[in-house]
Amino acid sequence: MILIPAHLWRYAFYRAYLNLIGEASKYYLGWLWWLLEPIAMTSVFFVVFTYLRPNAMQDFSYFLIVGVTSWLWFANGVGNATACLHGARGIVSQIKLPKMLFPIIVVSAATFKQAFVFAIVLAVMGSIFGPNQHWLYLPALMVTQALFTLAAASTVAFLCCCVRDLRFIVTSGLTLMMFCSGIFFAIDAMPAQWQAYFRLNPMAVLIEQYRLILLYDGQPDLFWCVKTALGCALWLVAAKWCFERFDLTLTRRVIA
Amino acid sequence: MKLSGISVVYSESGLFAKADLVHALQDVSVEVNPGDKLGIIGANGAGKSTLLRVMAGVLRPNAGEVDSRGMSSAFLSLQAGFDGELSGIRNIVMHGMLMGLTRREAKSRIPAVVEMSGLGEAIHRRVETYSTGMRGRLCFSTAINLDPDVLLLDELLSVGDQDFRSKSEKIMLERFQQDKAIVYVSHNANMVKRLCQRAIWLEQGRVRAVGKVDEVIREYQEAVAGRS
Repeated sequence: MILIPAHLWRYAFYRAYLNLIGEASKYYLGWLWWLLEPIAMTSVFFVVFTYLRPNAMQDFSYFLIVGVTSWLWFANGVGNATACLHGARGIVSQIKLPKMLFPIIVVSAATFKQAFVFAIVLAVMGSIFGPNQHWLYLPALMVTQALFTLAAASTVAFLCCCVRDLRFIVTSGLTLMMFCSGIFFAIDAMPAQWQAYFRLNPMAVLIEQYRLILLYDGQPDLFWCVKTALGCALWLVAAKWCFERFDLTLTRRVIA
Repeated sequence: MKLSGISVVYSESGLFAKADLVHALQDVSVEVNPGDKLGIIGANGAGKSTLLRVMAGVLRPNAGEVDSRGMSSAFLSLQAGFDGELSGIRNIVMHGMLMGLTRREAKSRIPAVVEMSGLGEAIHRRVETYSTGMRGRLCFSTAINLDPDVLLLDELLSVGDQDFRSKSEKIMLERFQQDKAIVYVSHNANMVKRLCQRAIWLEQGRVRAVGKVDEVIREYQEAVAGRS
């Protein structure tokens, strides 16, 4: 099976589902926070940027919500991966398991949550802008984002297990990346000479493509999706090799 | 299962701290055959749990060879991989799935585990609300129902009450007669004597004595009495 054995994929999905139930049960508003989190972040950006730029673009709130929801999927997956191996100390110290399992669980949980939020975003966008034939390209974008998130989360899980201090750098790195992903601005509105640099960040291009489909009825760049998805697949193979090659080091880091 | 010349070194280092090497095991060799009941004794920090982790395949040694000879093993300790935020039931299912069962197969084991553990309605409660003894019962009953070839027990039975201890000892002696093996780590020399035929005494990561359980425990107890 790809990356980990088939029975561990089944375990990862079940574990991700239980993690979400456990997380929701901790809060008074339970699973409603899955929706409230993107709404709160969108509201903050909306208030700040509407005041800063009174002549903000039309439909700025929809522009923001598409950016925020896709960003949160990535940020939750990668952010939670920083401590996933140390958090699984009990299992790691008792059962021989491929360490790649743990970022997979984290990204699966972020993906389930995203599926719920995205279904609501689609319902809202569909009722306002109406669905269009380009919605059929959404799965291609989502697969690309899932692969990118998993590859980044696996790398972060590996590095943060080897050197725990990197957790702080990842947190700052995610904040920097958020500001460079075009969540509250369009890459096209940036100076022409900078746009290519912004588009080196796959999240910036993904957010641009989601908006193109959902807000502007445009056709996404499928060639970019295929190219990026293949690149992420190779990145995952390399991550798997690193997890296997340094399994002894990782186990000791977790157990010690 | 055969372990030859096993050495395990832990290293703790930091930019502002001198690298600290801990020799958890040094040149340890041991063989476990079907039907064996092997006890491991020694003071805290002697390397007992590390040896069980090497046997379970969780930890690869720095030196030496591990030949599992195709035997499956289950390593049980009170720091078990149970999730305190989930109920006992859900932990049973998750543990089964980790061991390769489907969700349906894992669920089918629930009644037997609940019956053996004697946890009753508490099985629906979150594991973090369990006492140490209840955790031990859940852990032991879950593992024994997965039917491993080698059961690696780390101080697990000493936490249960008398009733559960007798019950679990009886189950082990029944189920692990012929083709199954038990490796049992404990500070409780009497329990090791009751359960095991052979024993190893570990001291600071090295084998201090190995052989018949009565002889090894007598040597160990004499050494401990001599120091105090």
